[in-house]
Amino acid sequence: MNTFITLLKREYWENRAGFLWTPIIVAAVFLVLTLGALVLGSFGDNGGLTFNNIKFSAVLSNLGPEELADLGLGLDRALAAGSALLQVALYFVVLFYLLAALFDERRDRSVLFWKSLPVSDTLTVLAKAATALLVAPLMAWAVSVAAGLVFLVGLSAYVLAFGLSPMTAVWGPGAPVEVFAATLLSVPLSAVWALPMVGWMLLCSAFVANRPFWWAIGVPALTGLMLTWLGVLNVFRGAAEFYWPQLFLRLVAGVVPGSWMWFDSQASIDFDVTKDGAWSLLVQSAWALMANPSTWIGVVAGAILIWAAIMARRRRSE
Amino acid sequence: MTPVISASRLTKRYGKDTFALREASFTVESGRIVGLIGPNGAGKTTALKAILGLLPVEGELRVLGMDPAAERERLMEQVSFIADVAVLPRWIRVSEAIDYVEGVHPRFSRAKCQAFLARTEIKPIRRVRELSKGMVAQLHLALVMAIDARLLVLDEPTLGLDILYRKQFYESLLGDYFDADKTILVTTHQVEEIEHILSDVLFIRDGRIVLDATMDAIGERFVEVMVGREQREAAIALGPVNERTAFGKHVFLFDAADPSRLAGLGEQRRPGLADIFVATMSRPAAPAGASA
Repeated sequence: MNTFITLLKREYWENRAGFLWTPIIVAAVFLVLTLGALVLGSFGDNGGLTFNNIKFSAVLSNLGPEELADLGLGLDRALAAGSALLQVALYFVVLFYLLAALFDERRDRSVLFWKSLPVSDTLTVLAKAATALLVAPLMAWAVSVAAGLVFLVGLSAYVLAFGLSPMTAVWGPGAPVEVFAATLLSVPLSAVWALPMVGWMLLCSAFVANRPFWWAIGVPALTGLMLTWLGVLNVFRGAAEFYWPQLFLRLVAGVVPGSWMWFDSQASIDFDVTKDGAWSLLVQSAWALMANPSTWIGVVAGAILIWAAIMARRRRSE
Repeated sequence: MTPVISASRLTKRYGKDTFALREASFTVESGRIVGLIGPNGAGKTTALKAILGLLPVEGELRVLGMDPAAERERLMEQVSFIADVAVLPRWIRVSEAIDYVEGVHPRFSRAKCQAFLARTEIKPIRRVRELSKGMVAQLHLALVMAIDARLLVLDEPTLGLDILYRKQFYESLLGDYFDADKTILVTTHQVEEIEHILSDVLFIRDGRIVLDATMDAIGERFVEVMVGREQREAAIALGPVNERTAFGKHVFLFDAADPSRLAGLGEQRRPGLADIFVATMSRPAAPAGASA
């Protein structure tokens, strides 16, 4: 266990810039833009910034219970949008992390140092998979919570300046804890969904002699183009229609947090955005995810790919 | 006592008839410092990689009683390895490298490592890429010397270092690390620099072990004789393994010659390992094991 934690630390040391500083910078940009717009907007002629069609000038005068609920939903969406921005950044960080994870050590020959220590290839590869699936998303999540709190505190200061109680205008209607809990729950769910992509990228990283990026994206893309072309020729009709959304996207974009919600048509959810909050959205889609056989087929495929990456690392030492 | 390394008929073939190792057999006993010496492409690194479990080979190979290819992870608790100065990851900080090895190696002593580093200019906050080549070698050596391993494998450990660092490297190794329970296997091109610390040598050529002897045995076996022009024919008649000229004289190298017959030829001296190496490597290829 001690060894595994050391391996996770080693991944963090090497990738501090991606795992820690990238989310912090993205969050800082988000905060500057939103809070800045809020302050600048309140100097405008048309009553300033609106959340979910509720003008803040209207908030100042009078609010009914329905409008308060709308405002709360709007605040939650703002928080979720901030965290979505972080997740886009996280996708690129994790993609390039995975491609480099078992490739750079061969290119700079440091693999000879790592292999001179009593650490198995299995544990090494599993630590890298766990870093991509859990450590990096959890760090991004922690940054999103911190940024969300800064956002709400900034908003509180803003409404206070208009003589309004932050409790009624910000913390009452919004449900930040629910949003944070939902995005936290989405981390392990995303990890289950992302296993095939993580396995595929690690295998490319461990196996190819050069340019892991082009192999990792190119092989699935060419396969898809071939299927599309065969479809045009009336061979394997429908294969391409299945391949692109179900296999290609999952293989190259599976680590996008919550991506199972938009890839998977079977997981279509009866969801009313005006009634339900972030938490219930996530819980519903989580059940849909777990009930979907393609999730579990993906888990098996991901495990096989990770095993292949372990074998590749064992064989290729330079 | 079981040997530290026992290798029997190790063979590694690439393609149809390119051999990196060709039925190489040798044994390394505990408490020895063994030089594995051969020209480029002779199979040195292949042999070391097989010993470290990095490369599967044909033949029978046991290191500390283990099969390296199958038990690399357990084996590396007892075996340390320095490839050359360029294998430490360039992004890592000195303090992180220490934390890492401490975290994964049960026989690593942080106190020892820090004591070694205290004698150098290396600061814990520095990254490997900010260190000079010599300092990287010092760091790697400090990490490895703080591990209580039974076998240390060095593959060109001082490649590209200046003479001061090279000397210091081997002095630290002998003074602060080596003892009767440890074994060192080293390859290098700089034969002259390590010959005084070796207890055994293995010459490897075209994947075959062509000489396997202790340094004491080599001192008894090989003799160099400085022969004047007039005695040259007589010397050649005794079957020298090499001839070169120096200071107008012919220098003949004899392997296991009768001392009484050499006596009259000229001044005798003990040859350097480099001379024996050159002579062995320029001889026509012999079948495996013939000269061992």
